[in-house]
Amino acid sequence: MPPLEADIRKRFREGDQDALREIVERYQNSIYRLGLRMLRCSEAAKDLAQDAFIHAYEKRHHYNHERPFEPWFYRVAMNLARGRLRRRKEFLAGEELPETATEPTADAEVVRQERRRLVQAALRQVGPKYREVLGLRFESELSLIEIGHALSISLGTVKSRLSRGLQAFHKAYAAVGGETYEMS
Amino acid sequence: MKCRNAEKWISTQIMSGLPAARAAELEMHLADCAECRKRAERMQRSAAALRDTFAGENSPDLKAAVLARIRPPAHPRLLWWWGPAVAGVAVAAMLAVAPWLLQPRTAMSDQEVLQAYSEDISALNTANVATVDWTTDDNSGLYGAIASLPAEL
Repeated sequence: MPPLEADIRKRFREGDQDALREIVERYQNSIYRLGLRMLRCSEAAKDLAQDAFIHAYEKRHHYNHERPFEPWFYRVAMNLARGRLRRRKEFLAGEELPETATEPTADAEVVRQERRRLVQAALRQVGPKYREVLGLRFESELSLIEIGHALSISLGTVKSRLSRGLQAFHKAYAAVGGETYEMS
Repeated sequence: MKCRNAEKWISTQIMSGLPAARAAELEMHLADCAECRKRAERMQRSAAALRDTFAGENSPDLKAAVLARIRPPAHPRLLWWWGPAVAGVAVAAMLAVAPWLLQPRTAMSDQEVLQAYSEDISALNTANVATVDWTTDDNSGLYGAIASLPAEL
């Protein structure tokens, strides 16, 4: 995804609602998917996405529009997601799997749904700090430096967390049967 | 390279890339080690599953909901000039009244003071005061007039 243009950044900073509309249009899918990965519930992901845009708009005076928008915006979103994870006592076991948005209607859809179910089951075993970087890398397509800015961590830590996050996911994915599924 | 280090290097290579020298070293190891090569392939598939899982998952359109919940900025065009304008009006008002406020107050001359007393006494209907000649220094008439004032005055 190309970075947000300077003109939109400036207008957003000034409170222009058309600029906000363009930002929502552009980032809503990315934030929603990030929410799905972090919160594992479509309704919670939708709420998170809405709140992230509103929170960013209300805090726009803290944003320097001469700098890239994405790291600042994703930091706002990640902080919101972290707060919700804390409130939900994320680390306790026994949470339900996320609801599927649609009923499977074809074999391909069944396959897709099953793969997604296994990935989500594996992600549940991965620590939140690793899920964060995996989400920002895969869903939001941020660069490593941008991830570092978004999470206020060094580039080395970003690389380390991505590497360990993949290892943790790989082990968990194999444990829930995902590897067998991929081989079939 | 030992196999126990390979997993870390493989995941780093997939997620963020290794420095060229280390990548070459890993490549050589994978060429020689079938077990690590399989491990690398499995990890690649896991990363692909992770990457693809939510790719088709789109958000419902949030624009209307978001815009309905935001508070518009409070007259942003008004705010920037409102403060200076009020300050300017205040300064102009102060400059306008300054000459009057700073004007020195002139004291009444003795003659004017006596004239004022005379007018006050006349207002009290004292007949003798009117005979006083204010244009001379002889104030005996005045003293007489004062002496003739009623005691309760």
